[in-house]
Amino acid sequence: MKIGDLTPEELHQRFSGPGVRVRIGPFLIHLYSAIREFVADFSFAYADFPICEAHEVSDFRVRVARAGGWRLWREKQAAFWVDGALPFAVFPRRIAMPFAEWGLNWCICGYAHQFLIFHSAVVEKAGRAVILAGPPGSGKSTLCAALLARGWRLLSDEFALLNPARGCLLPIPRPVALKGASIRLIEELLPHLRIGRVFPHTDKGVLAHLRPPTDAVERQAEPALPAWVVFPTHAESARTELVPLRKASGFLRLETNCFNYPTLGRAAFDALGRLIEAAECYELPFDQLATAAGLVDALAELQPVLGCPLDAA
Amino acid sequence: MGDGVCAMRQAPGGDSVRWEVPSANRLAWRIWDDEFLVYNTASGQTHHLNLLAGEALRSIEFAPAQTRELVRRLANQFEIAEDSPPLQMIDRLIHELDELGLIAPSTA
Amino acid sequence: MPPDNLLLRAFADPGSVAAFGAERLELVLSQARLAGLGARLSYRIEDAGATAALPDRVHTQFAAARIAAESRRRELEWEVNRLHRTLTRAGYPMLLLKGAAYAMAGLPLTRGRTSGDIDIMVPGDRLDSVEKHLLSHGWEWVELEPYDDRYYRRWSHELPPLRHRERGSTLDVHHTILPPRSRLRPDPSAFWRSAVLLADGSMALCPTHMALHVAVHLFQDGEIAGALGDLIDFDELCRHFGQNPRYWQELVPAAIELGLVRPLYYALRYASLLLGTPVPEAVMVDAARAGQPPAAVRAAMDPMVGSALVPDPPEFSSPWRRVACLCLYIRSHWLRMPPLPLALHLMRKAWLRSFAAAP
Repeated sequence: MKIGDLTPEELHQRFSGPGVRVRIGPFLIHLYSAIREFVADFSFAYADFPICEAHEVSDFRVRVARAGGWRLWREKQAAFWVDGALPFAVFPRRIAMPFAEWGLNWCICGYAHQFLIFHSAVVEKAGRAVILAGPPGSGKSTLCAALLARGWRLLSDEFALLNPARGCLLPIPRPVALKGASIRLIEELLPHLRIGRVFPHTDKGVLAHLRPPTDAVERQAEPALPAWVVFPTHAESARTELVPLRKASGFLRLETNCFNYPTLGRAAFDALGRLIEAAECYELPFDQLATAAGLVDALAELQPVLGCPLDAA
Repeated sequence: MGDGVCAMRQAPGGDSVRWEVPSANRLAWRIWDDEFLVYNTASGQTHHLNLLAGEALRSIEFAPAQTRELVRRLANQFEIAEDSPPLQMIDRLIHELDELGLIAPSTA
Repeated sequence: MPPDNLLLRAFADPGSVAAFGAERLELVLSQARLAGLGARLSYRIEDAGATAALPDRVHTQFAAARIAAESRRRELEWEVNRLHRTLTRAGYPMLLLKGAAYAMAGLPLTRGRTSGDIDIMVPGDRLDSVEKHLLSHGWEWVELEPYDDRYYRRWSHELPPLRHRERGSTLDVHHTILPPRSRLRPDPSAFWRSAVLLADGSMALCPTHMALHVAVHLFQDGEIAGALGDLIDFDELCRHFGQNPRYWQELVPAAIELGLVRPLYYALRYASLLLGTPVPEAVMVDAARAGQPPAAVRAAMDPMVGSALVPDPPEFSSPWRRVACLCLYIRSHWLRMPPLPLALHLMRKAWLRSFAAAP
């Protein structure tokens, strides 16, 4: 049973009552909300995600609820509750969806220490994954989308989840957050994928969510081994090229990209070391998106496919 | 370092101090070409060391040494003179490794 | 007695968690995570042999919580290491308190603890000089409102908190365990006389003083609301040290000598009632004889403490709990300061708060 299988009325009843348990990557999120508009936005973006009907203990109990407050007279507010507390201040009800997404990010980064978590996009072809690592504004999201258009599978747009012991990356193919000009760009690149309601006036400007490819969600239990680590930097009139990086530099740069490296201690050092040992590291300054995507795509052809079957993590 | 001034401070006790890697540190190493990454289990910190610093720390980890002894070992290993420029900086290197908690005066 | 509370029940009877349904399990895990007690609960459940009965997903959550707690313990031990280097090398005697002491003494209660700040005690006459020494070795004041800064210096028994510029760790330096102007005044030299030396060369309070410190912190000094972790500390210290009969024999007399028998009475009472701490009958009787408050006070405290100890998820917070917390807040400040300054203090804080919140 998927979220998209339920009618709007059924969705509203469930979300506002017993809540809905959604499988999102390796996590089971128990989500409650009585805000119809938010439920509609969420259900659109997460239409392909499976619902857990059984009474299984979830990883996070999350509620998006109406909030009062002194700004009520100006516009209606909402709040994001997790474990019964508020990680951040209330926000306008009309942009509840982006805030809920940030809230889920907060939960994962704050608690999911069974993984080493990087602020990176991850895509996979033929069983091997490329980690696109970089700060916001580096162009990794648009590069990720361009690779989807070339047949790569989406593991994640936001977080690389590395199982430290097994060295594999776990998918969490959540909706892709598109900002400003990239909304139009992605519409052109991936015309077959649906984009949700556009939210103007958020802290980060204009924002919309790209519904992840159905195939990516259906395969969200299939991990992948990292074969390449690429650090893209988008800049006007940069020469677009893949520049090989020394291993130690690759390690240190990926470490700065990691949310919970200090928390995992020795396990983090060992896991990251093994990852860098096995993967090729590159810098990718780029001006032209198509050229950049072509270069990354070509990496998958250059190296022979190993063909080892991967069991689920 | 934190104070912004890398003075050539004498290590406590001067030349007679034997330096060791405390056993609680349980160092973990990743070495690629001439770049060393070392993890200190006690501090939870990861350090990036160049060839000289890396080999110096490995040497002290292998067996505690006074500064003079360390200079001799490294001079042998790299086949350079004991008074060559890289080895003239050994006091400062020892001071930094001590500040970082990677080494400490031997209690033995 | 206190209203039913899942988290308290889970700590008092960890085996019972195996029979919780998915809903209650989710709720208790939420409460535990919010209170920072997830890892500690996981060890209690493991010791009770109930882990296998729980779903895999819960095992994963426990593992993640333990990783975070282990990271905190590592930071704590490193901080003690660096403090040693700074203070002990310079000849300042340093006594570790609370979490830092438990960790360096290797006590079982360290498992899963996630305490934040480091607390140390130095002799009262060296306080100024320690302050100067720390400031010249990388520590700086955490910025406080000027008003709170004055409160700390005049009424409290600590320097205002210090933070290390590079490491970002926080340090609280005390010279006694109670404010000098509070109604109870234990003589700090007693703590130094009985202090124990730990394996790494740091000092810690002896077992009875460790337990008394928690009792005092819980029922005299700090705020009771949300302090379940402290009561669990007291429970675990008693279970561990109580294996030696001397601990129980010395506990009440030590409390009497230091004038701390009222908070000890409360700690023993609520730990045994709420967490099932095995307090010997004779000890309970002695503590009651020496430190029991009037029946009316007991009757008022009982329901308040149980419900205030555990942070209710604010989603489900009851008005009753808010009242209980407010009464206990006023009580703890009353014990710290004489009545007139207290009234002024509370008024000023309320004024500052409303001033800051105005749009």
